[in-house]
Amino acid sequence: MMQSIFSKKYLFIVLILMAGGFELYVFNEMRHPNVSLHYRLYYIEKKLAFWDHGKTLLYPRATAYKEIEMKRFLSRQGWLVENNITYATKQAGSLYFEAENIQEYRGKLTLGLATQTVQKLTPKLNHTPLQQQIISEEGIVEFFFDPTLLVDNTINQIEFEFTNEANDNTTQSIKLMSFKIE
Amino acid sequence: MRAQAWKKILWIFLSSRVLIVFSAWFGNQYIDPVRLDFRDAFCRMDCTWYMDIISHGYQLAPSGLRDGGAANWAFFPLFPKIVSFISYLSMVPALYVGYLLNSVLFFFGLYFLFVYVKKAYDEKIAMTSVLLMAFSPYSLYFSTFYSESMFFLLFILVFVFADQGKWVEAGLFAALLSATRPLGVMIVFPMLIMGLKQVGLKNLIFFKTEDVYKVWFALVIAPLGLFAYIHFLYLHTGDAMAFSHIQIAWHRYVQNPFRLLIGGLMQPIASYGFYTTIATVGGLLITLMLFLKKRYAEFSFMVLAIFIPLSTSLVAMPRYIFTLFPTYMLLALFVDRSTYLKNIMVFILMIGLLFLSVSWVMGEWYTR
Repeated sequence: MMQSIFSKKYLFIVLILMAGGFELYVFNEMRHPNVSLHYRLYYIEKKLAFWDHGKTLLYPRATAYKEIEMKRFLSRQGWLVENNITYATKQAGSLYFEAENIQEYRGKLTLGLATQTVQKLTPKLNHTPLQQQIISEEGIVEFFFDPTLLVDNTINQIEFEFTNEANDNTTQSIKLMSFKIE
Repeated sequence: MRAQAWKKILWIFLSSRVLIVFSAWFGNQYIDPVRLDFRDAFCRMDCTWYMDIISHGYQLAPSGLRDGGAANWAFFPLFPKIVSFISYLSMVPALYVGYLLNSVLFFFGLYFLFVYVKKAYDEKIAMTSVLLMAFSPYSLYFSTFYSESMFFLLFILVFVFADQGKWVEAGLFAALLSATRPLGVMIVFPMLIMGLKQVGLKNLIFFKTEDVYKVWFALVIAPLGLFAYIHFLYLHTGDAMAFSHIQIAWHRYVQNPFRLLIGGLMQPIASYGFYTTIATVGGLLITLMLFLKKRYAEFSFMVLAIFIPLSTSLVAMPRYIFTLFPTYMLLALFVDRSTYLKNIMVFILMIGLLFLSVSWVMGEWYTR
């Protein structure tokens, strides 16, 4: 009788250890997802506004991204999307993109912008402010930066900071129409 | 006595299912202007996702819903896989197997609800719990292709066996429960409370009796169903928590549940937001009363079953609350004091069930 209780006890201990071991192993898998950058940014970190139907978030290279195509780079916060036209609002909008082989980049950011009023725009690349530019109408604006500001093989961020220079009551917003980084 | 109870439960079960099928058929034939095929009209919302799992397996990349960001891995595998297996063996289409299996499991769930509540209180209250649950408007979900019945049956089986001190069985059913729906794993909390009540804190910590090993065994194997699924998801998608992360496609984000409730109360009275908020407040009151009645195991599960989904959205809250057995156990305690009150309650529930069954086949949004 005593022996039977002991053998049952040890059986339960072995089973508990086995189940617990498996659960610890799976815990480790939970902590280390093996997913594309786009998946991580959209589903796990919830930084992007749109899921791009299973594609990975590739670096835009020298290609200009316009409106709908650009949606995949938009941050979840800060953008108002209406009729497939994108607006940055409350200065909280960002663009996220992946960089690879940063030595190939010459450090030029080209933005197609439109504004309702005169605004001073200061983009920030990975939190470092670039030059300020005054924008007053629809057009192309270029910014130059040190390519070493880019981070290789991971996420890079462009934030938009702008102030109303006209001192009027127009709502501060900026329409982003195209985006090119080279 | 037991045979009589079986018969009575079977009668309650069959009459409630006839009410659902008849009102749904009537709605489909004479009210719904779209008039889908009746068999398909009964398959709404999650049912289509379960059918997708059966037809195509788990997706490799998200592509569902309007934004293309949803995937069927939000839905746990146990129920669709069993349906798929039975359908394969019987050659009966999976959709019909799903409807039938869900209904049959509900019947057994009602029987074990009777067993559990009879032991906790008495036979009369137990039968009233069965009656209220069978005719609840949300019991509709126990007969369409949803995992509700499997969840209910396994949930009540864990309570029945844990209550009887049969911890190995309770643990095995809990492991299956955690592979049925995301909330299933939360069964470990009521199990812990029941275990503590039976063996005591000191014994549980210092492993003083053989029973303690069984309790620990049950508690450790309870999450195995969930862990097996998330291990599969890691191998399949690279993200072990994909079932949780994909909730973003259904606009479920972590939010302050109290802010959601206050926001819901501010909505127009005729809106879904207001209705689901009132149902949630009702669920919270029931939960509070369970605590006051010292039903701590049921209370702990109800708290988790309400606050976990509520911390992401108000959507579907009535279904989450009114498909849980402690709700009906508590309501039975309340209405069983007077036959008049009980009859009024059952009548109101029947009207609700009739209305929801018609609305369901018409695809109305408020049936969620």
